[in-house]
Amino acid sequence: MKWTWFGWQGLSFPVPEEWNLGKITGDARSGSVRLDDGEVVRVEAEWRELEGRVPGVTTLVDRYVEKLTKRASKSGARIEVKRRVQLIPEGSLPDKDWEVFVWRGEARAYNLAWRCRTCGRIGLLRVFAKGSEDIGRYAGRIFSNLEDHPTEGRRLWGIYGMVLMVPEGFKLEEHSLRTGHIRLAFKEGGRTLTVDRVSLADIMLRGRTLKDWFLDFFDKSLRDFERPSFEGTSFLGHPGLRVFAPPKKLWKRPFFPTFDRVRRSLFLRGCIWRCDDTNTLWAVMATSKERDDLLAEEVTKDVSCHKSSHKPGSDAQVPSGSQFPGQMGAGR
Amino acid sequence: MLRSRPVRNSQVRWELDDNGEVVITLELRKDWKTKLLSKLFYIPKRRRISLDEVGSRIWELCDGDHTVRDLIEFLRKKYKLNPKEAEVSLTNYLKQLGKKRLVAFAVPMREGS
Repeated sequence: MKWTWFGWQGLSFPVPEEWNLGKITGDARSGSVRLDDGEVVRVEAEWRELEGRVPGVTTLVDRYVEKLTKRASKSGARIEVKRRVQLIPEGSLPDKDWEVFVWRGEARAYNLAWRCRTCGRIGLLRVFAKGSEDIGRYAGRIFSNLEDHPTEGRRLWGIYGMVLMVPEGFKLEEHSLRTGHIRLAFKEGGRTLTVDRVSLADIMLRGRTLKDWFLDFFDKSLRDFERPSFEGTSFLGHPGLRVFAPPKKLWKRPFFPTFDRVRRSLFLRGCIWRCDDTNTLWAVMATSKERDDLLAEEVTKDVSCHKSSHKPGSDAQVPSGSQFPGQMGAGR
Repeated sequence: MLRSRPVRNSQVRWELDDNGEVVITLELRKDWKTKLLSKLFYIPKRRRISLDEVGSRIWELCDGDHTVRDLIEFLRKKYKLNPKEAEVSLTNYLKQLGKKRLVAFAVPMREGS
């Protein structure tokens, strides 16, 4: 089975390629995600940043298990819970307090509850088994590679096989997860970063060049800039174009709404390329007041456009994680 | 849904154009509402719907032999789409075709029924 990276709002972990994002709520402070395999839910993660006195992980799990058992008994279902399951090696997740527990009712879920001493996040990551399958090994691999804060000043973002590293100061401003087009837009102060991945590249580029596609596809986003200049180059082993566009001259801008138009004197730099291996088109664009801001190039270097099993910025594949079989029972 | 087999409406006329893309021709309905409206307004007797490349290939595969899951697999392999992308776009597309009564869905019978 092929693995890829999932990353959202600072939380990242490896997942089988078939498990994809189905639902997102919240933001970096608190939120949840759900991944499914097209048939059933496979992973659920919830996180929250807590300030002040935070209860220990054992207390958090106690409360969770109590709620779970109450809910189950109300609905007449039986639930069996095993605490402190030895699913991942002792020294895993060194900056976190954590506990693995498993519950089995109508479904079976492997759970990792954690509290991070570095970033103050608490969270619960659940991996669900389908029928009677034993996915302890998968859960171990996922749990032991969990990250919940930036590493080396960058956060991993990964959805639907689109995996990249973004400098930690950049906050997600908006996202669009449409079929065939994924867009993540980030902002830090006066700088913006947008990453677009468009599927069906062979059809998109039929009868036109990459440059023509770019000018057409990003027509609206380019309105505040002079006509861009292009320079042929290659990105991540694929032929591509480096884009540069200075801000539109003041007299060319529409009179209304004046304030917004005058304020936005930004330079645009971007990298666009076609990845043949995944039949996708990519555009990483950054705007900044600085003419020579190389943010787009820096981010592009660590995009995994066709090697999503590799953690961006490293040659290592998704680590195998746990050596322990997924058994219920043994205590940590 | 994934195990159902989409089948084209046999009453619908369709053909391939010069680019190999499907063009569906819809005849004007003959119910009283349409007749009344056509007396008041101009309504063309035929309407043509051109499908794009991906839509055309899927339309051709809506023959009752392929399940929705087969079609997802086809999209994944042929256009290298992510499984979720393929599933979402295909189910939306099939829903649209279903609403327009261009396809119906053959659902497998439950065992024992």
